[in-house]
Amino acid sequence: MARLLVRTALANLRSRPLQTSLVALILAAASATLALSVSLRAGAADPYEKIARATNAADVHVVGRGNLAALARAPGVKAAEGPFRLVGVRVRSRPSNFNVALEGVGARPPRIDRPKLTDGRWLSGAVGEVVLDRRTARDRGVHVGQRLTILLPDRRATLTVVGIAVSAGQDRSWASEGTVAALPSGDDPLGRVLELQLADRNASGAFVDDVRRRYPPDQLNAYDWVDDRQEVTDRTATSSVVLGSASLAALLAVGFIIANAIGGRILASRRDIGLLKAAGFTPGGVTALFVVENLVVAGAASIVGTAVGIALSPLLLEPTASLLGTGTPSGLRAVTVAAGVLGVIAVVCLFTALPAWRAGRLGVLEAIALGRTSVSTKPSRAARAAAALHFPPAVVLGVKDAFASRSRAAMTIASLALTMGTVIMALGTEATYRRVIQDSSLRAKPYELLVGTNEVSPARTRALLAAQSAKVSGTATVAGTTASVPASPVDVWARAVGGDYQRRPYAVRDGRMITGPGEAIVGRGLLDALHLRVGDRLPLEAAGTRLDLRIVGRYVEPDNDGRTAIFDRRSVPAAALARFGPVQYELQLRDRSDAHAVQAALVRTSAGQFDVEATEDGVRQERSDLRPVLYGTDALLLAIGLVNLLTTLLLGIRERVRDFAIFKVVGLTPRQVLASVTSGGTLLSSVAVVGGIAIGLPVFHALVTVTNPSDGPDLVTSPTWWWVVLMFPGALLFTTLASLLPARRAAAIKPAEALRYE
Amino acid sequence: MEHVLVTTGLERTYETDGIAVAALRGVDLAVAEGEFVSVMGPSGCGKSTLLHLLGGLDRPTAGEVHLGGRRVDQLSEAAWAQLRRRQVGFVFQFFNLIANLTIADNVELPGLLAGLSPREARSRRRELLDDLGIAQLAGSVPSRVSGGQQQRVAIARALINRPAVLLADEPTGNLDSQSAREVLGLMRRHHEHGQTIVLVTHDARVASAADRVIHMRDGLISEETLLSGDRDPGALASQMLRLEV
Amino acid sequence: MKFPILAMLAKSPAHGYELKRELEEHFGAALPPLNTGQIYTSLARLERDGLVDADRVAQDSRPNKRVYRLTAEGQKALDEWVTQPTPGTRLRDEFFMKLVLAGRAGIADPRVLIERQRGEYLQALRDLDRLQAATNGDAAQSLLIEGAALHLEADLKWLALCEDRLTSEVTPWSMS
Repeated sequence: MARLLVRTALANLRSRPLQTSLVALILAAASATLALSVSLRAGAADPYEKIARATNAADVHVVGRGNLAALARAPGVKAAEGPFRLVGVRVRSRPSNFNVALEGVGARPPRIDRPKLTDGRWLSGAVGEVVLDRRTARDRGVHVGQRLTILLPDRRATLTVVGIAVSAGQDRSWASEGTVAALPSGDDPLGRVLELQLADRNASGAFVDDVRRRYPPDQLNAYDWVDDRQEVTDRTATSSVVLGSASLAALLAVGFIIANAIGGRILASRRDIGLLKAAGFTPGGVTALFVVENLVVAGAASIVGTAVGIALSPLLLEPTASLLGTGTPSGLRAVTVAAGVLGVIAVVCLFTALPAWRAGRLGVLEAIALGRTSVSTKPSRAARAAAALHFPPAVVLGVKDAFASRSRAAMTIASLALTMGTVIMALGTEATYRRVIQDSSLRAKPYELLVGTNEVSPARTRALLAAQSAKVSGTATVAGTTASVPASPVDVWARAVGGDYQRRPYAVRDGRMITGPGEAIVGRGLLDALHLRVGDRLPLEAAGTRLDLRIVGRYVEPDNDGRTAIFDRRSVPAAALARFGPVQYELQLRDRSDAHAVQAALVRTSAGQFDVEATEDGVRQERSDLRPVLYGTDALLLAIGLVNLLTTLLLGIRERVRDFAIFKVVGLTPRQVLASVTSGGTLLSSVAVVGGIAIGLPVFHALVTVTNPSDGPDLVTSPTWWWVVLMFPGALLFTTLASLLPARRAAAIKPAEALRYE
Repeated sequence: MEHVLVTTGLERTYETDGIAVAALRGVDLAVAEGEFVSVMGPSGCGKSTLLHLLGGLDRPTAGEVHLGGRRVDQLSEAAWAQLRRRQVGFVFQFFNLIANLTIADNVELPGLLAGLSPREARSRRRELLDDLGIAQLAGSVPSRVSGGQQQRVAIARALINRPAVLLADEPTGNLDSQSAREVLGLMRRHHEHGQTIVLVTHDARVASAADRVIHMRDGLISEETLLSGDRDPGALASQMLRLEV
Repeated sequence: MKFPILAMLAKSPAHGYELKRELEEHFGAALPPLNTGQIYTSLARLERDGLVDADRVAQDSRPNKRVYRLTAEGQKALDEWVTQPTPGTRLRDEFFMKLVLAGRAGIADPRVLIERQRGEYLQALRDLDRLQAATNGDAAQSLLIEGAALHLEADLKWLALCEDRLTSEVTPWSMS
């Protein structure tokens, strides 16, 4: 019996080569998408944990010039490594020079916070080699083998990049102890760093507090893995959302599409089922036959598809990994393979067995009769409407046919709508990015350029900046530090601003911008964490001083989950202010497009001693990293949707060869037959577009808001209306492509042959 | 008299798997206006092929077909489709109604295609269905209607544009004898009103309803019988029973 | 006419003229034209064979009427006839003989013979159709016509078969 089943199944498949290949194609593409989605989700999930595990991350970093060795033996410390020398060097580069923190390590990589090589090799111990951290390498376009010119006060030095690596800690690169010692910036210029692992990871907060309490900040400072994770998460918030939702949508779409493809085939085979039963197959046998048929296709297709998905995943994962600061995970993991192969097979089994079982239970005659007239016999409302609007008869017929099989039409529309929904989400993402790029205040960066420096004196800095005043409309200063709230574990990132901060305010959504000292604007995260409202007082402790501020407004702040506060620097006593981080200058330009020109001018006039960052670059980079993933997934889904529509139309035509033959006998020209098929498909697509937009927009908004509670609601933007309108001609093009083959087939039907037998 | 359909030297050869099969090997036929011609012959003799060629559903490999005085065998599919709307009505053995259209829609479709306004199409449809005794079925769908009724609908559909010729391929083949008689009666009635009919059948009773019976064999016309409808039945009647003394 | 007469006499004794009238009543136009002489000849034969008996009935100013009735043997013969089915194998012997012999003798082309006969049958069908339309609902007449038509159909099928065999096998009427 089993052999008979397999033989019959194979014969059936061979007898319909086009249909079989199309379904195989859909299933393979679905597997590939599944594998990719699983990879993406895995890749995007908890990036910090991944890298922490891979690099044996430290729980606490202690930095400074004080007695680090003693801390290595502090209670609660499980393991310690270092202290390592930490040196900051300035690398010459375009558009502006940048700083690199070098850690002097031995010939073997450190055990704790072990850097994970993604390119090149580790240090050999020779002088002049550096292993660069991956984020810097990527941001600045540095490759293995490149030579970096270090700008020292009295000379230049060269370092060769022998490798690129990631670590869980903050951006840090590695060079040999000899190299670091040879850098003549004095002994211990940044101090040393000690890496600690605690017996209880979660005690790191208390440990850090203890260090901070016992030592003055210019002697020793400590921060823990939670801070590291915060930074990674901050960097990747948006992308995680996008990746997560794209892969989720892909998974859903795939499910629908498989259901449609398989279910459609079963529907079309109801007559065959009747004949099989008449020939002696039991209902169980019928179900088994269909399951075997589809499994053969699904098995082969899913293996091929998963392999393709895994092969493709590095392409999509690579930018993501850079984005997330993780190493590129391999696509080949047990979970991915299981998802791609078993997932598709399971879905196919389910969607085959159920309808086949139901169909198998039909009486023989019923099935044959149903199969012969497997179309709905109720007059279609859409067709009435089309007729009433005096559409040509061919179009009315096409409209009728599209909804002839109600269940198939519904499934096709559902899967197409999902595909269209993902397109809308991509458009929405683009719109959101465009808005954020245009309005940098939405990133809490209401300026075009950020200038910082370690070497140039404030007076000279002001002079150099003034020299650009032709293009600069305002200059504000900002200095930041970590602050805390008494009797609360919440860490706040506090920014003291001065200068022209009023000229270009932050994106205040509730309340108003600060106008003078004693006022603060805060992020949503802070309000939520401290259960405060606009108008309440905010007791902050920063740089050892208690600040008395009143919250006058809430602004959009992606950093630190919105647990931030901005206030006038005059709210802080001068002594405390000196303990804040270095002052940076925020330049607002008259013409935004001058950003890179002014950046170049500043770098030149400061002889490379200025660090000048253009705010839009960061966002642009992020957007361009995301685009392959976004568009890749969408393109895949669109392709699947196309094949899906194609298969639906083909199946419909195959079922109704006689009807088309009769149309021709009764006087429809081949072109009219073509038109009827295309108009049916167009109607399905149009309905799907409307459905996709209706579902996609709210889902997009909800997704962004839910996953990004601090600034999601403020950032999320719907695509401009004309993009949405463009989706309709887009759907038309889509349909035309999908209808080409089926319509031509229908138009080529020869009535004499088709009507020969019953 | 005007000839509605004329064929000269009509040939049709099929190629299957490299083997050429000649379905028609040179058929000359002329059908006069208002004539009722039936075509008989064993299966495989080419009668259905001839009918398909007459209606433009197939293209001859050689020979000519003239419809209404105009040469039509080389017309494109699209041109034939337009010609068929007004000039040719088809009735088939298996009814071939569109399953997801109502009876009314089925009948009106060729009318709408030919350019009738919906109102005109509707009124003609009503007239025809009335005439055929199935007016009450207008809103039903084909699957809920008996075979004999379906064939009547098919006839109505074929006649809605008042075509020059009605082509029927085994119209009673799928009907019980009662329905077959009724359908034949309908066709005869329309013939009496002047409709030209070419009918293919293997049923002698059906064929004998025609004025002329053409017998085909192996792709050629082998004989023609002209039937008279005027013979006195009385003479025949007395031959029915034979009583030997 | 032997058994029809016996059957009629089984209902009630009758004389010749009554029998003729009864036949005409039952079968009407389907009957070939009868004359009384044929009936009396048949009756005489039946009497001779002992199947019927004649009784003389006196009539004034006319020759005596002879009223016939069934004998016991007659009844037996009738019962047998009624219960035995009528043999089914019957062909158009005349045409069959024509086809075989004329073909053998070379005096006619079998194919032409068949074609001509077919034309005849088709015309007969046509005529039967008209007859059927003119019967005015006479049930017996209608059945008769239908029977004849069905026979004709069968004959036409047989003709097609003959035609087929003509071209393929060696036939009884092969010409050489």
